[in-house]
Amino acid sequence: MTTVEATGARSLRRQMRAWRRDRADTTLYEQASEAYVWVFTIVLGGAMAISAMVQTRVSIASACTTSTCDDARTSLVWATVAGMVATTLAAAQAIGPVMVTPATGAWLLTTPVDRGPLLRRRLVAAAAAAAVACAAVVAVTGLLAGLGYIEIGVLSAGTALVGAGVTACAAIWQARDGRPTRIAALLLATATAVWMLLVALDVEPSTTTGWLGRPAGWVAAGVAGAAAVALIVRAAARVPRLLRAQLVPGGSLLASLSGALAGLDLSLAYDVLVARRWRDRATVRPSRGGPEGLWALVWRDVVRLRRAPGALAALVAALLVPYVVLRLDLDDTTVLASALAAFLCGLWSFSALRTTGRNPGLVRCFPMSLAEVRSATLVVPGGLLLVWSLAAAPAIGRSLDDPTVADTLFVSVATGATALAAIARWMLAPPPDYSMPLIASPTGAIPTGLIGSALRGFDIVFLGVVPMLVAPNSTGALVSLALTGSVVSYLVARRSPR
Amino acid sequence: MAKTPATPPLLRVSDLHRSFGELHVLEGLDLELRSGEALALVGPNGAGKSTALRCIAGADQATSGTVELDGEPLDERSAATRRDLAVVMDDLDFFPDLSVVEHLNLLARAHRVAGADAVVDAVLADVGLEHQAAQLPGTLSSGQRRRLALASAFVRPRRLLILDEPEQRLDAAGLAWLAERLNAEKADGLGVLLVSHDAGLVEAVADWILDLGDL
Repeated sequence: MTTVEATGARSLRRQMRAWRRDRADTTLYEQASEAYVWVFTIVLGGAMAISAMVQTRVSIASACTTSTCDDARTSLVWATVAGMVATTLAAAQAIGPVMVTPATGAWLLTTPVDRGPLLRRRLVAAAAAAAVACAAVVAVTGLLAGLGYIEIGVLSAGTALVGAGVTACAAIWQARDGRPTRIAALLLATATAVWMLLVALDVEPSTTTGWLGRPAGWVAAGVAGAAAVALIVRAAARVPRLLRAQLVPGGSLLASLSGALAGLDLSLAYDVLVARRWRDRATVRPSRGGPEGLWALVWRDVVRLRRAPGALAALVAALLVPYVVLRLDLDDTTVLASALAAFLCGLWSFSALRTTGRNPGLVRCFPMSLAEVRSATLVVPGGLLLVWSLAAAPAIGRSLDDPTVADTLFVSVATGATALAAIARWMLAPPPDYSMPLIASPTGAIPTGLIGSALRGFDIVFLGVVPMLVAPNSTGALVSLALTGSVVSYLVARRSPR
Repeated sequence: MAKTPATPPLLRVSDLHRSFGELHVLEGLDLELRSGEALALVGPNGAGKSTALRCIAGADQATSGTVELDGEPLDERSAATRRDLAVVMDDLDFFPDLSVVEHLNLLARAHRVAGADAVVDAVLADVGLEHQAAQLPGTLSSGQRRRLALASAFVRPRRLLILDEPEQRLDAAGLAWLAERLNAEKADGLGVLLVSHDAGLVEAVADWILDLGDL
């Protein structure tokens, strides 16, 4: 074993690298083969994705024939920029953004080693990750919105720099337990939602993107870059003073999420986030009283909603989607986009279904059958989705050809029911089963059905939406309702694997 | 096998088998338990104690054999069984967004306990969680979580208590309280079936001891 004198973070890292080299169990050739598979996959997948996006860009451009649609597309690009910055701030606050793994916290940060080099690398990595994520999302949005390629480049670069800058800002605020970051994220998210509402109502202030391709755009990107560098330098000077207690929780959260995502177990990642959120809150004002029997469970969902109105806000945000899609003249995709939005935003209202779905011991405490307990946890969020459907009905109805009132109502309710069934499928998904035969892959053995687990929920959205795409009227909606109703009935009665 | 004459048994387990492939964990377990009595399953790790408990409680399916509650086959899916059977095992988790008192309140109301609020307060005080009433489960210590799990059994109507290593993570005072509480349950005419590694608890509570290591 190579021995290196441990005098600082750099020499410690060198020593750990030396140990790891000593126990290498793959050859360079094997590593290269695996790298080849990865690169090939990324290039192939990337090419397909870009091709699909360019085709979609052409389709959207041909569908978007009115000036109001053009205005909406431009506005949505800016809404995406604001939304990505808000998301970056929220993610930075959740994980730190400067964080260390629990192992590093216990083994390295407890020694008298200089923390600066160790933590500055984490800061730069976090800022880089934020920049890449912001650039990618904004580039895709700009591409779909029909912006010119130079405009897309400038806007992506500018947003990337803003993303890196706000990450550095969050690192500076980390010493104050991230409270300013949380407030900034909330304000920006609210502003984005309000902007989207104005777009949906066709009353948003006029915006342009043409200036991005001119010197003004380059200057703006340059200013963003200078600000980002200044903030990163300032944050780099401050991060060594962060407490271990401010660094480890983010690493712990990230490790848990990584574990869940490595198994493509998105429901587990959801559990991790929900548990973390409530643990941070620590206490609540207890609510007592309420009805008895099965209704006691239903009543608890009402209390939950009062306690965490964010779930309701997510559904309200999802309500904007059908109206915005209509503004984009994408009538044919209104039902699909609405069902997807209700599915993804409605997930947060169904935490009781998830908790009872994965805890047979908890269900055993209640004097009701498993199906009754699960059904009770569906009442309140299901009711919310019904209200959502009715509120989305004007937009969904306008996307249909010569609809009757019955067509509008049935298609809207079927869209909400599709989201409900998709959420039930997602929430009650069993975890990957490693006791079943495994499939050999270049990245190791993976359980059968692993890939499918990432598609859970989306498959039901597809199942529920297809009948309405084929027959966008009451008939298609009734077929959809029959299908999604069967799915929910089956899932609610299905016993958890022992 | 533990048997007593006189009153008919509250719980009767006959010829219970549980196999996992070639591994036979339980091979013909028989036991009877009457109201007002406690039976402790003891034995070394891997003897099948928890497996037996899981099969009896319906959390696992026995390969063969019968489990009867009051002479009727025990079916954990039936509402009647759920009302009579209070089970605390390791798989009991909590709602992350409900406080300690709300968990107990929910259970009491789901079981239609008369005067639910007063019962909940009494149980909270009994298990020593009255100062944690507003806390969410994620912030409780492991010992406090154990107490909350035990409270979930005491806050609701029950005729048979099934406990898997209830002494886990309890401190000395908690152990003494648990023994006292289980004896009170017996005095109230309930049956107690427990798995335990704590000889003191077993000695203090159990009327019958079944050593699965000897079978």
